[in-house]
Amino acid sequence: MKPAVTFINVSRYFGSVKAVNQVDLAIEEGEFFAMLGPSGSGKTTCLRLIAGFERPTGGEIKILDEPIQDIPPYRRNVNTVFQDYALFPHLSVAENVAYALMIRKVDKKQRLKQAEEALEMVRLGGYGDRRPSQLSGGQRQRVALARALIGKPAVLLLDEPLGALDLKLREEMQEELKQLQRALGITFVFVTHDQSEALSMADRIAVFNEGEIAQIGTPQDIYHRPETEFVANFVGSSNVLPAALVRQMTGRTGIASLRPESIRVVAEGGHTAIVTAKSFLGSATKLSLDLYGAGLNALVDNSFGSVEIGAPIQIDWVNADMHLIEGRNE
Amino acid sequence: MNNGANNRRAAVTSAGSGLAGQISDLFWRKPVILLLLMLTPPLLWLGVVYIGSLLALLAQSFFSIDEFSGLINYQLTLKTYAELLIPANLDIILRTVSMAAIVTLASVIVAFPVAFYAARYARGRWKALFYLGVMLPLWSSYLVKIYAWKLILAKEGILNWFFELTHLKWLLDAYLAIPLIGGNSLSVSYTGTFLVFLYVWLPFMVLPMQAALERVPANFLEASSDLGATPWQTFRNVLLPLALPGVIAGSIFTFSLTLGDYIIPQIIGSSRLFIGQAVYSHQGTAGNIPLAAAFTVVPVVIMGFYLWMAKRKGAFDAL
Amino acid sequence: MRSDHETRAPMALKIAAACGLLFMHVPILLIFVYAFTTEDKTFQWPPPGYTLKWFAVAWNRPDVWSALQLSLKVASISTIVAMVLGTLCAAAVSRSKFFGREAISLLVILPIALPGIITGIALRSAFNIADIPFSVWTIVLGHATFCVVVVYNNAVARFRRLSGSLVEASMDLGANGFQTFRHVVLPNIATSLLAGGMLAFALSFDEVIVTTLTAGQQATLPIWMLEELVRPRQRPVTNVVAMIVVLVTFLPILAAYYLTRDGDQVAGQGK
Repeated sequence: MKPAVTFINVSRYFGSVKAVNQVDLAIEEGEFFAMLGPSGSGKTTCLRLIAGFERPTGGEIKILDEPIQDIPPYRRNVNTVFQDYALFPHLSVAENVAYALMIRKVDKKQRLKQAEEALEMVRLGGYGDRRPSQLSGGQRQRVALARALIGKPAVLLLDEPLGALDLKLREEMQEELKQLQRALGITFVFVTHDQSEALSMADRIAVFNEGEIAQIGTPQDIYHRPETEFVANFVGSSNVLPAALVRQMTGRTGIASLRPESIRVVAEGGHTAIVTAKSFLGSATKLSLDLYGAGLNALVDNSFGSVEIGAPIQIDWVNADMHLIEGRNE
Repeated sequence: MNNGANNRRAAVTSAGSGLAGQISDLFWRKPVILLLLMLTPPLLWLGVVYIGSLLALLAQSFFSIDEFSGLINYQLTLKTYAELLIPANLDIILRTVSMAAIVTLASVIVAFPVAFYAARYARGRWKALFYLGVMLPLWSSYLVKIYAWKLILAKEGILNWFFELTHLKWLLDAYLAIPLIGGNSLSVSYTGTFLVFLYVWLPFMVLPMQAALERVPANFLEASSDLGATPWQTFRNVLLPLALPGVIAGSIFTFSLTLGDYIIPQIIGSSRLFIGQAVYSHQGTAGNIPLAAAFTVVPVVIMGFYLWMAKRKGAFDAL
Repeated sequence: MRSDHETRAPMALKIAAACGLLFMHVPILLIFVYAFTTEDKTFQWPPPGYTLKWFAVAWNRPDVWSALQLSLKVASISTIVAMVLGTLCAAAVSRSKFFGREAISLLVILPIALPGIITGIALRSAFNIADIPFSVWTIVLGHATFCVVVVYNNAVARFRRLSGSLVEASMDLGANGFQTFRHVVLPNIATSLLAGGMLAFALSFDEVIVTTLTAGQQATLPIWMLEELVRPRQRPVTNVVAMIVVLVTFLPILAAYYLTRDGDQVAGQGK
């Protein structure tokens, strides 16, 4: 199987700002791939490089093993769902969806029929005559999706596709996007700053930081085995144990990540930590702890009994859950 | 859907590759070419023809005119500028600048209530009405507006008729007897010129003032009155400073337009010259292009200084 | 939020605002009355009687017609030139951040920011230096120069609202630059272009200062008016023409207003 998108040492500089810096990347065909990172980390620029809205300062970009950095966006078999949806306000919903076909000079009857099919696929059958301004945010997003998918692109790019939706709608759309991707078998590449979205939807995730990829891997890899302190912090707000503490506890060199939910409160025999704050979250309780001078967050179930702020408790975790980040020796 | 090839996908579509496509590709690869193509016509027109003309005019102000032959002497000199400083010409400049200042001040005073009402109280249909109420006079024919005042100020016109009707003719006569601002009748006095200037440029003051006042949050004013400020204090300490950028923006228009006008004082007012008239007559009948050019530099310098001050006060955000 | 008690204006403000508006409108309305007066020697108020005969007299005046014709011709050509140049400028400025953007905005605004007489004299002396005879085309050259700004202002505002992602979306969906312009950019800027064009037309139709300096023997309608103002020949005809000029300029202004009123910036603010 050949990769759908390949980056070979790709850079994009804006003046002295290195938006994307020497990135290597291979996205498999049929994959649901997430680019995760804080704003300004270069993930959106990468998406725009694939679409052709930006041109690389250096390196090579391939789609299906063909170099495409000299191919303008309108010749690339790639379509995009924009963050603000970018629906054409002067066209009806059906005309929006059929836009790509209109440009390809498909005859009017045929293209309206296909547009209606595409709208049905995103459960908006019968909405074709409306204007984009008459639709809700969630509906607009579906129209944008139908419009991008009507030409059956090799790769579908989604720029923060769920960012503008409210929580409930977002969860619904996550499920729907996954089903759609499985049904169509199209490679989806989506950009998000929301780690839970990336973790729940993607087959693989690339975590971006300052124009570079900090780690690529499955959601499980990224979550449980972060390779850098940045990844550990950014994904799931892990605790990062300082090198001194790690050495004291395990004798090994380096810092380590420890997920808040891996920490248990035990009756005895654990490490002694001081409770500095607590907040009840419903299904669990979040404790802020002081462990030998290092701050820790713990997410514990409510069965541990009552703790007082300022009081010492015993905590423990399975050693395998403490993931050593090699090579960092602060 | 398209060519039904679900399993065999291509990286590149077969989108039209005719001439338009090729040119379009070029623009994508070298966006700077498109930018240059777009900018060349307007830059040729404005940057070369227009700016060129302005510079040529400026250059001529450094020439002088031979007093005997009346021909232009093409030698760089500051003689023409020195000529601006003789009392007669200095008078013209002072007269014009004072008029521009008074007109600007008066239009601020008259425009404020209109702009304030439109910005703060008018809603919905009233707002549109206010807007058009300012736009239509703004865009009405300049000459027609002057003509209207010729009708109003005429001896048998509506203003004299009104004073007769209300038996206030003595008041008008007393006013006209005041030196400088008075005269034989309103239509040949500075007051007449002033009124027409005020009338013609007023809409240029209302619009930017309204724009600036609309940006003053209502709760600023409420907060001020909640804190026990009198309406006057609120006006002076809150409203006026916040409206200032709009006032300055508007005054750029009223000031600049008054400085350069030569038709209004020619038709209504005393026969004393304003800068615009001086420029017009020097370039026309007198054929003294260098002096005319030197005269045009005066409003440019004044406006340049004014704009520089205005920019420092942030007036351009209100344009 | 504005609270209810605040929507009531003090009486003094209401009166002052009303007076301000009256001051701006009464003189124009007076012209309408004078167009019907029977008095033909003086500007007598109130008019001794009313008649429609001056409309017929004005109708049969060839000089009025030829002036009107020239004005329409000049305004049409200047508007077209200004629309092309203004749109190109606006597109270039809004499409990319390049060195000298500010300078271009300034350059476009300059012909209207500088007093008209300077533009007029500068062009006149340039025509003299270059030995270009005065003609309709010299008038057009002058008019188009200051009309660019109104088209530019309208177009720039609309380009700003036309989010960049629409153009990208169109390209993304297979439309090349020209197709994108035709199917996405043009439909979205059309009304503002039209509005800008109308304002440019009104501006040109009414212009007198630059025109007197760039015209030779040709008389546009404003030049005709100016001559009547300086040396009145037949006052009632001037009254009628003045009224018609007011009505003719109102139409494009109203049209421009309705075309752009939903926008963030309404046309004409930059006259």
